[in-house]
Amino acid sequence: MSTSIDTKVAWDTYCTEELLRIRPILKAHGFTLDEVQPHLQGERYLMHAVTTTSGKKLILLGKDATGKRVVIKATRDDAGIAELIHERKCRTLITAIDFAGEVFHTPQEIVFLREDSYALSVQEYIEQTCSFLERPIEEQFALALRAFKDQESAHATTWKHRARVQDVFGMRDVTTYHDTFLSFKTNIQRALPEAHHLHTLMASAMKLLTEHRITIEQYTGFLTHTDFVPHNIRIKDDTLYLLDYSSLTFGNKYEGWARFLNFMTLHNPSLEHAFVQYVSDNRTPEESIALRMMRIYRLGEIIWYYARTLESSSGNLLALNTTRVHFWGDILTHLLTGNPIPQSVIDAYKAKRDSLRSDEEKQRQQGLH
Amino acid sequence: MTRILIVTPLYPPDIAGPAPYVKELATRIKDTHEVTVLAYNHIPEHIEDVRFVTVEKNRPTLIRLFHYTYALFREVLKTDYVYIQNGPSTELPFVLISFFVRTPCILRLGDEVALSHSVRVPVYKALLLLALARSHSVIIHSETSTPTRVLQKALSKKKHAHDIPRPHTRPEILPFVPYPTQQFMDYETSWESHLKDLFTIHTS
Repeated sequence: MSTSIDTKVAWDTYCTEELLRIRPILKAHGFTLDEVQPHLQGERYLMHAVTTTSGKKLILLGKDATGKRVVIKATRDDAGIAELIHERKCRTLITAIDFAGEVFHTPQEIVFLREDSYALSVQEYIEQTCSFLERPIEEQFALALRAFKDQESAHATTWKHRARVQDVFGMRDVTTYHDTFLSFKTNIQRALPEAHHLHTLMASAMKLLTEHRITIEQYTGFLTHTDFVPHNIRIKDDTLYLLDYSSLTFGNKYEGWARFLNFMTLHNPSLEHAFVQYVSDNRTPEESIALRMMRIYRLGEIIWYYARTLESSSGNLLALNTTRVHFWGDILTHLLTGNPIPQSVIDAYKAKRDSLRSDEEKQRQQGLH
Repeated sequence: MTRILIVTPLYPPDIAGPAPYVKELATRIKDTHEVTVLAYNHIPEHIEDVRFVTVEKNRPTLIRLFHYTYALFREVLKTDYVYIQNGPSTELPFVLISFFVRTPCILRLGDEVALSHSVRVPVYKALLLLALARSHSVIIHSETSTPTRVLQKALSKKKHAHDIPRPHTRPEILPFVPYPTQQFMDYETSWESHLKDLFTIHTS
C-alpha cells in the first residue's frame, strides 16, 4: 500500500514542482496555463506505455496571448524529451513520404521551445462540438474507416521506402510481435505467479499467434497508429485530427484497428461488431485472421499494462486494476474461442469499475472520449 | 488451356495501382486458363489454382530488377501470352527480355499514377515508349486517363492499340447503409465486358 501512496504523492509533488518552473517559461512566450489541469489528475500517474517511446511528461491546457486555447506538452525528463523530438520527426516525415496516399490532419505546432533544460511543444487545441463517442454510430464508423484507410495508404515495401522510415517510425514484423507477446506472457507470469488461468490463456494466445505467423507477416509494412482511440482523436468540421504522432509506426496494418476495436468492445460494442463485419464482407479471409491475431496481441499488452500497475496500486485502485486484468482476460478468452462477448460481462465490469473509480479519475474521464 | 502470365509491379496485400485488378482478373480467368502471376511481393494473397512467382521488394533496386528480369525470362518461355501492367519496374525487365522471346505480350496502361510519373521523368518516359514499341498490343482506358500528347503520338503508330473501358472497382458493403445491389450488378457487368474485350484483343 505504501508503494501506491508513494507513487501518487511523488507524482503530485512532481507536478507541483514542474508547474512552478514551467509557468514562467510559458509566460515569457505569451502563454498562460489553466487553473485546472485534467490531464494531471486521477490515474494519470500510473500511465506509461509499454510498447512505444514514452517518457515522463505533462500534458497541459492553456491559452496564448490572444486567448486562443492551446495544448502544451512539457518535460525535462530525457525519455520525455526524446518522445517529443520523436513525435516532431514523425510529424515532419509523414507529410514528406512519397509512397503515402492520404495523410491525416494533425493539430498545428505553434512553437517548440528548448529552455532551462525543458522541451515544450505548444500545439493548437482543436475545439470540437462533441466527442467521438457522442456522435452517431454511422458517423463514428465513417470517420474511423477513413482514418484507417489513410493509414493503410502508406505501405513501405521497397528497400528505399524502408530506409526512409525505419529510423523514425520503426518497423514491426512478425518476429517483433511474437517476441513482444512472449515478453507480456513472461512478465505476467512473474508479476502474478498465482494467476494460473491467465497463464494458460496467454499460452493459448501465444500458440495461436505462432500458428498464424505468415498471415501476421503478410500484412506488415503498413503505417499504423498504435493508439488509435477516441482520446487521440479530435473532430472539427468533419475533419478528423489525429493526436500523438509518437504512436505511429510501420507494422501490421491491423494493429491500430485492433487497439480501436478492443477499446470499442468496452465503450461501443455495436461499432466493434460493425468493423468486424466490414472486414469480413470486404476483405480477404486472411485479413480477418490478421485482425483477430492483432486483437489478441493487443489484449496481451493491455493485460500486462494493468498487471504491472498492481504493485503500485492500493485500496480501490488495486481492486479496480485487478478487476481490469480479469475483465481483459475474459475478453481474450472470448476472442480465442471465437464466441461473442456477452453484454452482461461488459455491464458487470462497468458497474464495478464505476464503483471503484476515484472522483478525480471520473472527472478526468469526462469528455476524454 | 492457354497459359497466361500476368506481370505486375503490385499485387495484394499492396492496395495501390493494378494490385486489386490483377487479383480480380486472375480469380476470374483461373478456371479457363492456366494463370501465373509474376509480382514484386513478400507474401502474396493466395488464389486457389493460380501460381505465384514473387521477387522480394525489400532489396536494392538493381538486385530486385535483375531477379525480376530473370524470373520473367524463365516464365515467358513457359507461357502462351504475357499480360503486363505498366510501371518502370515491369517495363524495364520486359524491354530487356523482348529481344530474346517471341511470346505475344500485351501491355496495359492501367496504372494512372505510374503513367503520369513516367511521362514526367525522361528516363521513365523513354522506357515506357520502348515498352510500347516492343509490345504486341497495348490497352488503354482513355475514359479515366487521357493519354498525354507524347503517349498519343506513340499509340497512333501502334497497330494494335485498344481503348477499352476500365472494369469497375469492387463496391464496398458498409454497415448502416443498404446493400449495394445495383453497384454489384454494374461491377459484374463491367468485368464480363472487360473479359470479352480481353478475349477479343488476345485473339486479334
